[in-house]
Amino acid sequence: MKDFLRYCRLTLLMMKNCLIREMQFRSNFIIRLFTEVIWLGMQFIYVEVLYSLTQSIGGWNVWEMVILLGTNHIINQLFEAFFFDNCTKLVDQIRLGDLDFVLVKPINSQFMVSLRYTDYASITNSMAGFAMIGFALHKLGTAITPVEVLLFLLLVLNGIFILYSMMFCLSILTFWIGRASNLFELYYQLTQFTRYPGEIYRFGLRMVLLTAIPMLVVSNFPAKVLVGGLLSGRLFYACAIGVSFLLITTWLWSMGLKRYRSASS
Amino acid sequence: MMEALLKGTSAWKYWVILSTRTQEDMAYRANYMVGALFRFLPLLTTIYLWYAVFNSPGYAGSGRMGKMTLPDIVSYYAIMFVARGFSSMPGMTRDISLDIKDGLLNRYLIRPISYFWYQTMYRLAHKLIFWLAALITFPPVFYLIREYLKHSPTVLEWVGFFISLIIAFWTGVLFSFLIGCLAFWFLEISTFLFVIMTMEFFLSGHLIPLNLMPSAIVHYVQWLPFAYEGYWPCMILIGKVQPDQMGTVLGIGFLWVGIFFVLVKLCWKWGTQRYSAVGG
Amino acid sequence: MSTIEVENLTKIYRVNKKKPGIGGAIEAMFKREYTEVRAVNDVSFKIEEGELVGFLGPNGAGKTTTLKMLSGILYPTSGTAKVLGFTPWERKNEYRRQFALVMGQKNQLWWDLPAQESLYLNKEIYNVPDDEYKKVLDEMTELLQVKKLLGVMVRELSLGERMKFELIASLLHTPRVLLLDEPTIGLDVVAQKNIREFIKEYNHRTKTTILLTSHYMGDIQALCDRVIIINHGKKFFDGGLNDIIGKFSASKLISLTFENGGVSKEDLSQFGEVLECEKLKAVLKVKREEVTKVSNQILEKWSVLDINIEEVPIEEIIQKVFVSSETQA
Repeated sequence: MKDFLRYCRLTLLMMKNCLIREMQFRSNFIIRLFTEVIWLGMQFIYVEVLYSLTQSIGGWNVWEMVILLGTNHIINQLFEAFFFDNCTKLVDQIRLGDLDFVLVKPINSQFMVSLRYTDYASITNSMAGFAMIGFALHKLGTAITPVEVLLFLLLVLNGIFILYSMMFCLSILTFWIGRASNLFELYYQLTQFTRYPGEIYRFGLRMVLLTAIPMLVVSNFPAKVLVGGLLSGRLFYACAIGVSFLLITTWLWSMGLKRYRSASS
Repeated sequence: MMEALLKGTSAWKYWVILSTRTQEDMAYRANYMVGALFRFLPLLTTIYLWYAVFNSPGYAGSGRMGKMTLPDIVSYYAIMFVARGFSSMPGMTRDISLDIKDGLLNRYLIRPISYFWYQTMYRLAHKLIFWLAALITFPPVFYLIREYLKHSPTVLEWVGFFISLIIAFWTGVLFSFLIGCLAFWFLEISTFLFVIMTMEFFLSGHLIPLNLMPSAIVHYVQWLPFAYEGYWPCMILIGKVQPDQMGTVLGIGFLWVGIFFVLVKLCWKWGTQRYSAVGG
Repeated sequence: MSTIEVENLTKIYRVNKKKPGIGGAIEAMFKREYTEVRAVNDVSFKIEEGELVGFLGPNGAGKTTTLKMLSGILYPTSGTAKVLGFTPWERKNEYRRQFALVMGQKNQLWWDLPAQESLYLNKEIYNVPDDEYKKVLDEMTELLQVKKLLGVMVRELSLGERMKFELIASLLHTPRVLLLDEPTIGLDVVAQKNIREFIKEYNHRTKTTILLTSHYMGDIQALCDRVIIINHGKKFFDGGLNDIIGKFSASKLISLTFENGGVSKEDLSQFGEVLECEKLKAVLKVKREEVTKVSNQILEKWSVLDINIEEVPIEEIIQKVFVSSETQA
């Protein structure tokens, strides 16, 4: 327990450091907000076109789809806020042999490399997702209980961890195969599957997206909590997936470190 | 052998640029193949999504949607890969703006190589590698979705398609170069660049077929240069362009290429004058 | 048990080889060729508590690789090492809390933040209690005269000031072992002197075991009584600085000042190698055993105002050691 608190304290400290740093670059922050709004706008247009032609897709009506969109947005933005930059920087650190200082400190190295940087623009952007969901729920006229809110947040966190595990594992493949820029492309393509309702996929693919590459667990499951409810079995399954993926990251990380070649001097 | 043939000609120096770049990319082999294959995954989502739309209970068969059937949509997105393989120039604008900003243009300005042609060759090399890998990855994908490739293009449509691909390449190169030149006058163009990129992505029809937009918008948007970077090649090959329209469509495309060419020449002239005046 | 015990430590790297041109690139896509590089080759030594030992060698000698294995950053290919009783590459937290690594060419401080924020982060990472942190910080900033720079952005500090803060950051938790990799590299003469004095003083005060690598003779001469010379991954010498002279230097230098002119190069060359000969001054390199005999002969033959007998500069000796180890490798 003491250890856990210590790591929490360190996380907050590193977040504080990042905040101090970001406040020096305010214009960048504003640009980021602007670009994310445009990106969200484009997704809206896409959904608008789709729903101008039909009332329901895979059993989800337009507002339910908006909830899915919002959930996906929140998860992606928060993932970007805490883990994305760290993973991309990690690739270079591995490649250039810059992990030395992380390895000599009495602290879990995976923790250090995963949480070092925080992106505040993304945190702010995620708010748009919450607003969207709130609006859609209002339009649907559904009342949400506190328990559902908690479950939603839990599954959002779970979704973020699944994304983290995927990207982290792809990033550390650099230990084995050098430059990994195209692997980020892979990550991007796979995460497209988180956007849409799982019902549209045919059985075989849907199974894959629920198990080996659990993209549907990421956004569909939390959204489902607010749209018609989620079976408790699924809830446990989702968390099991999240935890196992995290364990895989720790295992892969220790494997990768054995191959670490520090930069020569 | 190639080297022996070309040495001594001015094309030699461009070949060297081409081959160095090719070597760079080949060095990361596994990486490259993986990337090439996985770029097709969105096609899967597209097929399922639009299938769900077309087969949903509330499907309104007429109106906007009447313009495109499911095979049309799938073919469109698949052919978009090909078209974008000609027109997209990732990083070109940024590279150019950095060269200008960091004062690195000097080494090009004093050499007997035109910077524009240098960049074009560089991009051509990149495309060559892309298409080499594509020759392996595209056919299987197209084979897998063959049931959606319902339309058999006529000879005119094939010819029109290839011409439109050439237009797409030149539109992409010239436009990216033009925006890059803005760095001669503006210090920080990254936000503007992002907005332009998003516009390009959208208006090339990459996100949604342009003809599914509200009709008031389609009217104008389809004649913008961006439409030639993806929308028109796709529409031609899926048979949505009537023979009598073909001439107009391609004609306007050539017009845009011409306009951009002139603009690039002008901007380059003015820009390098300013550049030399400021001292780089 | 010694503080640092290294036995038969070896580190072998595989490096890709590629033929030039496109043909080579295509070939490399299907078949890879490797060569083996022995960065560290069967190195053994022991270091006791409180010692200040220097690792000397040219670039690429293997000193930094050895240091990185002792820090637990790299795994050896074979051999063992024990620091404070721990195997470094097991990376136990207990071990990591007791040693520190400083690298002259790499920063651990956050670039866009005031130095003290990075120091505070280190404090938290190493779990240094508040009062101890304050005490150590005050002491060291005083000693290194950087107290008023605590609030300055790291990117705005000079190289020397940055290095001082790097040292402080690594010593906040009072480690028992300090590993320094090229600590004075790139620094101006004054900064080099400051850092060297600090290290010496620190070692004297706290009896911390210090191992430092350098290719600057100045570092070694100022700080280390004991030197380990490494080249091509192999250990060539382990002993006192003065012993190097005795072991590797076969000659001494005789500097002469004559009263009258007319002494030519040819005249002197019979006694030894003439390094300098102009007007009234000359410098001769003479074999150790013959120094006395030669001196007497010269004094008899000419009128000498001043005669000085010195060792060959240690840099030259070391250079020769490197070169000879080159041919032996």
